[in-house]
Formats: sequence, C-alpha cells, structure tokens
Amino acid sequence: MNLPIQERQAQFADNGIPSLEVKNVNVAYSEGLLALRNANLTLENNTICGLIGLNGSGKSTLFKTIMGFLQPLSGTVRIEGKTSREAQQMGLIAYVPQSEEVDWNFPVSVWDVVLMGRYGHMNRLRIPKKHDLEIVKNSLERVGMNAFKDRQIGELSGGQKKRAFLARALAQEGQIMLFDEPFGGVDATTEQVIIRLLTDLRTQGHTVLISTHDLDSVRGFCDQVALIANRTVLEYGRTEIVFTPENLMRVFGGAPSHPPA
Amino acid sequence: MELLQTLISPFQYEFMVKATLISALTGAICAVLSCFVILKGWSLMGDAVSHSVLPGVVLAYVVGLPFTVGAFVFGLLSVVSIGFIKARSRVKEDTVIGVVFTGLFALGLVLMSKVSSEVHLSHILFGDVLGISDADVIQTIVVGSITLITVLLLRKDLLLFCFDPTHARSIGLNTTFLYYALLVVLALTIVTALQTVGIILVVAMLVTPGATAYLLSDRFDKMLLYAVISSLFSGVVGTYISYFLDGATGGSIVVLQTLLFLVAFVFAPKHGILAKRRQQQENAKRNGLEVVSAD
Repeated sequence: MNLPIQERQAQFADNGIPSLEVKNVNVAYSEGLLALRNANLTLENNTICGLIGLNGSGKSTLFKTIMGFLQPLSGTVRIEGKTSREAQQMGLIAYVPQSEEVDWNFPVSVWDVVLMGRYGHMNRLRIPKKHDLEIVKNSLERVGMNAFKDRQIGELSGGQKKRAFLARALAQEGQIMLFDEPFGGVDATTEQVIIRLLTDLRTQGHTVLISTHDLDSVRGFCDQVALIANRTVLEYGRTEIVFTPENLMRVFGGAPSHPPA
Repeated sequence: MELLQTLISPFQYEFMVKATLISALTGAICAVLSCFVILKGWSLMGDAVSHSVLPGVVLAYVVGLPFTVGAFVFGLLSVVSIGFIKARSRVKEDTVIGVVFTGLFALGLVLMSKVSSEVHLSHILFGDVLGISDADVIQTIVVGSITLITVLLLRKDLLLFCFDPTHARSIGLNTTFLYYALLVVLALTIVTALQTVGIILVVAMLVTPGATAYLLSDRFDKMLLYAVISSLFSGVVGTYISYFLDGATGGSIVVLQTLLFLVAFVFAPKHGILAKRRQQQENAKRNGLEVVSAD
C-alpha cells in the first residue's frame, strides 16, 4: 500500500492540476490581526498530507480558508483548479471540522446524518436513489458504525460521533478530504479505524489533508508534510525531505515532544 | 338528546364551520414551522416578527391593501432590521430583537390611535376567527398553502441548515438563501395565523406544538407528524370550546396546546419526567445501588 508517490500516481490520470493549491494567502480576523500570513501549500494528487503545528498556529484557520468559510484578504485557494465554492458545488471536497458544533439532541439518527452527506448528489427534493442508500450503508460499514445507524446522534460516545461524521464525509465521495484533528480525543478503536480509512482513501485515489499532533502517524503514512507555525506555512513537501529534526525544532520551539527517529 | 343537540349546535352556523376550518389550517401550518423554529432556536425571533406586523396591518388598512400584504412587509422589515443592526453593532442579538420588535409594535399602537376605529385593536391583538370575513378566509388559505408547500419542498435542506449550517455550506448549498427562506416562511406563517390567534399568541402556535412533539420523538419526520396532530386537535377543539365560552378562540386554542405540552412533559415515553425517573431507577438497580428518592 505504501508505494512511492510516483508509482501510485501513475494509477490515475494526472491532468497536471494539483488537488489543492493555496497561494500567498493572507487572512485577517475581524479585529484586523492576521490569522494567516502569506500561506502557501500545494498538495500532490493522491497523497496524504499531514499538517503539523502547535495549537493556535493557524491549522484550523487554514482549513476554514480552504473551505471558503474565511475570506482571504489576498491570495488564492484552488481546488482542482476551481474556487472553493465551485469545488463544493461540484462535490469535489469533503471537510470534517475539529469538533462538530451541533445540537446533540437534534432529532436525527446516525443514518440521517450520513445521508445528508449525499444531498449534493441528489435532486432538489433530496430524494435518495438506491445508489445513495448503498453509499451511506457502505460509508457506515467503513467506519464500523453500521450497528449504530438507528441511534439518535446524541446517543453515541465521543469516538462514535467522530466516526459518524467521518462516514458523512465519505458519503460525499469528494476527491479531496480535509480532516481537522481526526485523532483528537478519540478511543483506540476509532484511531485504528481512522488510520485504516486514511490509507484506504489514498489507495482509492483520494487526496487527504489532516492536521495532527501525532508525529508517529506522520512517519507512518503521510506522504507529504506541511509545517505550520506563527500563522504561516514554514515548509511543505515530501515527508522524507521536510520532516527533519531541524524543521521540527522550528515548529515546536526548543523541545519537540516526539523527535523523529 | 338535548345534550347532543347542544353539542352539535355550533356547526349549524356557517361562521363556526369557517372558523374551525381556518383554525385547523392555521394550526397545521404553524405546527410544521414550529418544528424548525424550536430546532433553530428562533422562538424569540417568532415573537419579534409577530409583534412587528402591527404597524403593517394598520397601514394596509389605511392604504386599502389586504392586511396580509402589510403584515408580511413589516414582518420582513423587522427581520432585516434585526440582521442589519446585529451585524453593525456590539449589541447582542436578543437585545436587538427586543429593541426592534417593541419599537415597531409601539409604532403600530401610535398609528392605531390615529386611524378610524374600524380597525379593532383587540381583533388584531387577540384574533377574531369567529368573525372572519370571506375575503380573509381566502387570503389565509392562499398564503397558508403557499407557505406549507414551500416548507415541505425545502424540508430537507432547511433541516440540514438548522442542524449543521457549516456542513450545508460545505456541500455547496446556499445557506444565505436557506436562512432568508426560513425567515420568509416564518413571516408568512405568522401572517396566516393572525386571524386565528392574533399577534400576542401567534408565538405559542409557532413554538408549543414543536416543543410537545420534540418531547415525543427523536426523529424529525415523526416530530412533524406529532406537531401537526397536536396542533390540529388544539385548533379544532379550541375553536369548538370557544363557542360555548362566547369568545377567546385564540386563548382556548393556546391553553389546549399548553395542556398537551404538559401532558407530554410528564408522560412522554422517553423524554417525559416519569420516564426519566424510571430510567434512573433502573440504572441504579442495574448497578446494584440503593435507589435514592429523586425528590
């Protein structure tokens, strides 16, 4: 599964357009302070990229900017050559935020929530076809949540909630998947499920961007790394080139918690 | 036999038949909307829109337009003003809502005092479904049907918008459109219900059936159904009772709705207080603990 990038890419038609391109992006908070400074990032097709940085360094801001939820002051975001909005409307991109800020008492089941991931593929009345239902079922199976499909969304543990929202992202069938801190506060089962999911997604030709604190996972399966500190992307590129002790010192200051081997 | 005569006597009158139909229609529409209103947390917004329509009703009368037009325009005006002020000041939303709707309501009262007494304040404030004119019946049916169809067509998108607007946006839905669509149908629903329960009690129609249904089900489609059933029941029975009370139709309907809510609050199979207590005791027993009195 861990073929070198070049060989894996050969399996897919490469049109030369990067999956994701963030170019000279500056984002400001409403108070005028910069939330992102001159950020650059290019994701090669069909790779997993780990976004590494301290809390508050700008990781979630970068995700929100890619999704178009924050408007850059300057610079561009392109997803398969399209703007964020176009990419969303074409169903190219799926996003799972760090924590879901939803009402957990909302009267929807796990199945209902995952089905919502298919709305972009349905007609205006959102009437699911057989194909949609199969994808929902399949997405739930991939995260091991089929047994919980009839639960009300609040009747789940933290890890199960996370998996339910991952299933919704899978159901979207986006070419590019953004996962903000997927390993944050999850149980061991969920962690294993997510790791397998990420590598499976790569095998199937998707491009994945995850933010994480877990440096072992970067070594384990990230083809690319983007190092983010002080509200800008310091370096990005192939893991073997970028993921060096010197660079990690720059990101984490004096004491990286898990220096790379 | 005499009792039966008395019991069916209300329906010998055309005005009672009309009133019952309008109350039922209004009840059904408000019930559908109430499910969205309580899930979105827009109860106060509903109160605001309903109070804000007063100057619109008075002005429509002065200009000679249908009251629904004036009410709708001022309902929207309140919503837009609230959004505008909130976005451009540091004042919190509930405060802005309070300022705007009381301001518009007060303006309505002032206008009212300057207009001929043919517009009855009490009818606008408390509804007058027993005295509803044929023109108003038609207005209510037309506006109500448009609203109901729109909501049912947009039902799934609106639900997603209420549940998780971020996700709605990330799959390419136009959340600004959904936000205003929900506000517009809210305003239209209020206009529909004005004749039946009046400005003051409209918000009950927009909150209570949804709240009752929310206690009864964990699934949205069932919640819709329960809300409509409870609202139809209160609308029809409330109108019927008000015949014998010689008035206060709106009040009767809302009192019944509140009673249904209280029944659900106590007896709902999963979320009622009795069920909660039973669950607690079962949990305690399962864990081999002494059952502590909940009181």
